[in-house]
Amino acid sequence: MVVRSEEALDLECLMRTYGNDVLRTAYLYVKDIQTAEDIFQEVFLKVNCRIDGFRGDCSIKTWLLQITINTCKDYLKSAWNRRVHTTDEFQTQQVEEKGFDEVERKQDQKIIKQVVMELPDKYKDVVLCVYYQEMSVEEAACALEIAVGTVKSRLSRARQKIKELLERRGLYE
Amino acid sequence: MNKSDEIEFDDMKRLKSDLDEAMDLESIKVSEALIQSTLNLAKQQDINKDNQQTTEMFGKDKKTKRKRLRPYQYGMIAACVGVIAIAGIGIATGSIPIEELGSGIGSKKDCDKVAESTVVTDSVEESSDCEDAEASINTEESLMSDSGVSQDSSDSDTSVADENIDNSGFFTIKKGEEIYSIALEDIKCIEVYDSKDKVIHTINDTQKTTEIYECLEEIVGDNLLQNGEHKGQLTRHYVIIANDGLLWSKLDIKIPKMANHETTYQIERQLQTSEGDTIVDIITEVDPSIIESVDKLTEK
Repeated sequence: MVVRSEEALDLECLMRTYGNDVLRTAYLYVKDIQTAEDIFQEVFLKVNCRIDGFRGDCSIKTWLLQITINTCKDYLKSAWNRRVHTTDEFQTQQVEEKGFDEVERKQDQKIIKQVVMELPDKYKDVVLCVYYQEMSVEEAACALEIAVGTVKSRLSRARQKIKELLERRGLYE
Repeated sequence: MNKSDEIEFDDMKRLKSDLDEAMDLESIKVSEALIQSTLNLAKQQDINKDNQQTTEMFGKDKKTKRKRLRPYQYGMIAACVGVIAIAGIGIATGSIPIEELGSGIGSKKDCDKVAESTVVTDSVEESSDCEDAEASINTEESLMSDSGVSQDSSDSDTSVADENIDNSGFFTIKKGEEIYSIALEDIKCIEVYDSKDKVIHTINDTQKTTEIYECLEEIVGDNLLQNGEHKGQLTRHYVIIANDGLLWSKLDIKIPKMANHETTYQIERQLQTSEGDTIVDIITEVDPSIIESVDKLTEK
């Protein structure tokens, strides 16, 4: 289900359509589900305030993710967050899997996750937008408020870095 | 194609699924409770916004009302008008000296000159903008001159102004009916003080005393504030000591430092009579060149 810009921007409708994307994006940034839910609420409260200000320059999803990314960055920069101990691990309940192959697969995925998350913010942003949110380069540029050419160059550099990091960890040797 | 290349063309495409799986993102879903609580917060936000808007509107109404009313402003305006009217009447009747008005009409010196020319020549030919303004002020004075009434006439309204303005010159000091004149031959010596009020030296030389006297005589006593006291740091202090047997014993001349925004000096003139009385007044708008000349003459 996609909310078209010409349709009435109903908050509940937006939450049901794009809520998961917003929550997961927030989670990718803050690495804590409780904080991600707080950010989800903050994002949709901001949307409720600015809903009349949406000009339709980009898709609603891009607009929502733009607000989400900015809110997450503000949170990460905030003094409160700096005082709170954060862990590199994502604090979700992992389902325990049995079997050697499954354990190995999980280990590989963990390395990929770590590699992506260890990327400098500017590269991580474009990777998450383009590969995770499946945005076009133009949409990513709009969401991150940077030029299209910048998205392309950062994406290329991010790929290079991921490749180097994975090779260093012996994942693809 | 080796495994490194596959990262770009294959594994990167699977990044979403890898990340989903690695971080268990698929299990992260927006709960109904979260949606409902967010909606409640949004409703609360809307209510607050409405209240705020109402308050702002109310505030605006209040402001508008205040703009309309402002009774104290009307009062102030009325008071200002009253003061201006009283001042205008005062000027017209001559009860307020022109010198105290500042340079509102034109340069004081120019106006003084014009005033003099009006009185002396009683002519309309030399009229200028300043003169026009002055003319209206001195209407009564001119009329009195025309009718041959002396300015010293005691029953005139201008007598109040006459008490304040002494046109007799620097060395003539009046107090009520008493007139104290300081003649050159009455001067015994001139003492020069420093800023700490200590005598630096005493001038007894007749020629130098004469030069100083002539210099000080140039000070026009028109701009006189009776019972005035000097303000600011005192930089110059001269005392003219009288010979014995005169109505006055000494004349203190105190010159405060000229403020940055000022272009003229003020001189405090303090005459001590032989009876022990002190007459103090201030002469304003003294030409700096006179003070500089006196400075040179009083140098040790």
